[in-house]
Amino acid sequence: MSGTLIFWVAAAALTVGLGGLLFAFSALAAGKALSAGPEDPSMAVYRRQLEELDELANRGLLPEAEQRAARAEAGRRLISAADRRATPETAGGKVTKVALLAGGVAAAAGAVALYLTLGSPGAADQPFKTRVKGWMSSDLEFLPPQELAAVLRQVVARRPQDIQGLTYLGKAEIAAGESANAARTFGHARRLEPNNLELVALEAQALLTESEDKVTPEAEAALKRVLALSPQDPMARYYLAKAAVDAGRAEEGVKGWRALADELPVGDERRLQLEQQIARASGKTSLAETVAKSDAPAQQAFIKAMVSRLAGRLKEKPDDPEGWARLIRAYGVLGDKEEQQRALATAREVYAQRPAVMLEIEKEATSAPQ
Amino acid sequence: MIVELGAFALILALMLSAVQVAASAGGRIRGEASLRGAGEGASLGAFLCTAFAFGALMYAFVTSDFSVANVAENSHTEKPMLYKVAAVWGSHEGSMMLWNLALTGFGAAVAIFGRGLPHGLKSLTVASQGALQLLFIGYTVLASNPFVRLTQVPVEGNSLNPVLQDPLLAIHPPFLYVGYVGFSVVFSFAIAALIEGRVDAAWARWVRPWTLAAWSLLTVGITLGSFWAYYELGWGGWWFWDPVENASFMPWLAGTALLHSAIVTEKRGALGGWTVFLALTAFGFSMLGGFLVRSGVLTSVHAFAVDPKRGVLLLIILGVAAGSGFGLFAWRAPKLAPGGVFSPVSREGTLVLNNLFLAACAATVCLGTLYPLIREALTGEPISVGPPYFLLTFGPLMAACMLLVPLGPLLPWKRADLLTALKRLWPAAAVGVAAALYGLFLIAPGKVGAAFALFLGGWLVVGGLIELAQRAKVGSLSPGMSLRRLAGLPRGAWGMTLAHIGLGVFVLGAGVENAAKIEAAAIMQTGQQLKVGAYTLTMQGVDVLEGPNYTAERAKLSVAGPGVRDMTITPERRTYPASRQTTSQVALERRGVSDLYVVLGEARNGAWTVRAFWNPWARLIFLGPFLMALGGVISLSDRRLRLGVAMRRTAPMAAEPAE
Repeated sequence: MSGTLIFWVAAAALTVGLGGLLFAFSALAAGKALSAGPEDPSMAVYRRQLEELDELANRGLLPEAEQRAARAEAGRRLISAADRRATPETAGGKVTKVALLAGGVAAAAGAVALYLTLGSPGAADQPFKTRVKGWMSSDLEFLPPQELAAVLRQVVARRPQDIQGLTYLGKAEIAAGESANAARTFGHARRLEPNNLELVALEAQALLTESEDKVTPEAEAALKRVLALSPQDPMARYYLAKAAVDAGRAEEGVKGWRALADELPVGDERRLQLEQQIARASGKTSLAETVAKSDAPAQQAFIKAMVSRLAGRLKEKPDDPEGWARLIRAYGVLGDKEEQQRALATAREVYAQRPAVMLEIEKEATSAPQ
Repeated sequence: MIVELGAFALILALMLSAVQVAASAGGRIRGEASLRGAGEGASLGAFLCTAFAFGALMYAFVTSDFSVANVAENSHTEKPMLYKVAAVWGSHEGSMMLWNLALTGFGAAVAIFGRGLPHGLKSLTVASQGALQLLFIGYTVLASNPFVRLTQVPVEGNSLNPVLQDPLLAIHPPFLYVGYVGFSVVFSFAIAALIEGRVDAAWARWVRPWTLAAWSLLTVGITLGSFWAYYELGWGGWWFWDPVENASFMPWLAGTALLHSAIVTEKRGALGGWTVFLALTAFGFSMLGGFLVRSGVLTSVHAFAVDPKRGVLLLIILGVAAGSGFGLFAWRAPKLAPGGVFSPVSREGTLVLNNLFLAACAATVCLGTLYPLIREALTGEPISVGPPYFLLTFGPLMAACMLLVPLGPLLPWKRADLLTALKRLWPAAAVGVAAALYGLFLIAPGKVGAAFALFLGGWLVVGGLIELAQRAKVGSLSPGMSLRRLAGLPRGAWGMTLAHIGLGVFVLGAGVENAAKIEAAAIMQTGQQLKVGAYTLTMQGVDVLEGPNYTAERAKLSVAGPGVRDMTITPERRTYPASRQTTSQVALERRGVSDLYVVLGEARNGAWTVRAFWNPWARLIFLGPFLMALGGVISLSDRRLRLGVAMRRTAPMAAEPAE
């Protein structure tokens, strides 16, 4: 039987069962109506009140005067209630039965109609465990990272000491964008194997991803662990220096960066970036100044190479206002007026229909270089 | 399939509620038992369907079925089982399910246990309850359906607010909701009485057990919530006059007034109209509370399920339900028969005063809660009405009301001699004054408010004991006889006394905690010390721990002070990566009825912020209300409130408890 069919059978059983309940109650009440006396039920309450008063008085808990007064009052209530007869009730005839049946059927039909508009008939339950089982039996290679992480988590839960499993899990978590989980996973693995450089480094990276490159105290501790195992590790040195700069210890940070920059080959993009950061940290804020300061022809050449890469990219994908602004600004910095004018003209052509964008580009291009 | 059956069952509950209204009302109009019976059957059916739907939703949460949108939004596989279950009522949709479960549950309870009720009254009560079910289940099905499925099923859920991941909070809402919704029965009884045109002593006795049950549950619910806020939020306080707290307090105040006015109606047949009015008001406030929490007009730690669009719908429901109730009252109340007469100095007199004060208190809280909202809606200017307003307005009214509490039970009905009763209370006054002086000179020097609170506490507690002694004739009879008399007291009397003493215990706690609380904070490195009151905390260090779904920094602080040897406390700061939230786990060290309360704050450069409070007598604040609720439960077990006993003679099968 298909799931949808089972669902409708169950729903029908539920509805019919409830209908039965309704009619059973109806028949029971009708049966009792025939045997009920005409006494108003409040009589019972007042009789009980009288009994209570006597009982309390007998136990000496009610002073006599109070008992008399209360008794008189309860008695009056009893008499007035005795004048009132219970609302007479009939069992209810055939018409009522038919009306009830019609009402019941209409309610059931209404429920089905409303459910068909609001519900998802026959949609199966999807408990997490069942889904994980499904993913496990599929080809793991093609599983998206989040699903893979969920599968690996199950594996790791069964083998919590499995370093390889933990490493895979952490990597899957990184890929799934769950950096906080990844940091926890790598941290767990690292505690099992404190001298495993890969794990220690992965934990630090995950923590940095989680904090969006901010060196938090946890990240700092992790980076120090990396450095303890691999004193020359560039990532650890870079971020620890950054932590020092962020904490206001610029001199210490710049020293770290300087040492790192000097180890990199001239013309390496990372070196230039470092130079920029060093300049910024030392209080010199502009790229222009960095470039002006560095006479090294290789560096000038590097910048030119970068600029021409940008120009090439813009030729292929011209709709990039930010790129144009950067390009125009870069020619300015290099002092290449001719190329700057040409780039400006091309940009104007590209954005001929969108003067607002062009205005933005020009504004951006002439602003202080970053 | 279970989820879809749940969705279907909820719709079936809606349809059955319609049948319940039609059949019950038809049964009353035509005087036919088979229709009345069908209405009662429908009411039980609606409850069973809602319970099934609730169970299906719980199943989806427990199995982490993220194809259900509500589960995907409010749960997470890593969440411990208890909180998966609690997450069922942690969202807007789920909390409506809990509300509906209670609503249909109470409807079915009236249908099944209300065998001793007059047919007309019962039919109309069941019909009115059915109408409420139609409104609320209808809203849930059409605007807040928890069974909506997702076509793109996410791998992982969105978790639940970690502040709400707490064992107390798992049980606080059920109590609160069942308490709130318990007043719906009283509301329905009031509607039925107005239509029948009959509010008398018998009606009051039929209504009282429901009121007691709802009131006791609401008391427990509010107290649990307050205790949760006390230890989970880490602010050191327990009541903030937050609009959502007030939202639960207003029905409580109206319910307390109702509890007392129903006694007058039951014993003397008087105040019938007023009792009906309070019955309508109590549930009106409950619905207002439900609206405030979910509408988006409030931003608060408790406003957990906010949605402005649906808020408007809830406002309409509130308007329809409360509007028709009060409209009916305005039309029918003048026709109600007046009850017995009494002199101002009498037990009825004190109960009327009590009602005036409680009603004024409820109005004050209502004004303080709604005025800022209305003003902001009209002028756009936000204003904040805080504790000073409530202390100045609510405080004196409540204090005056409390002064009356021990007096009432000592006065006879109808006419009384005030002087005799006051003479009996002199020990309470003496203890009160002694407590006040003790407070004024030793606990909180110079703080008059605290001294007055101590006076009130002493007055209430000793006043309650005097009332017991009075009943047992302590002094005029032999101790053995007195004990026998005490044992023979009706449970209702015990319940009342316990509730009144509980109020005194609460006032003592609140007064002392408020006046003599000590707060200290410091940035601490390992080895550094912080003094709070008579205690000295020494930082021993902070460890990092892995919880099931969080990472915790756990500080170890050793404590030195009076009566403490080798004690370490461990406040925590937990970070939940799934929701990127941080919570504090307060270290709560009870010393007698007082608390040492320590919160771990953020770490900075190897040092941690630590806040510590010495909260003297704080536990009494929570013990008092529990005693009050216990009093309610004991009263509820009084056989006089069990109609089954009264019915035994006429119908031997009807000897069921409750009613």
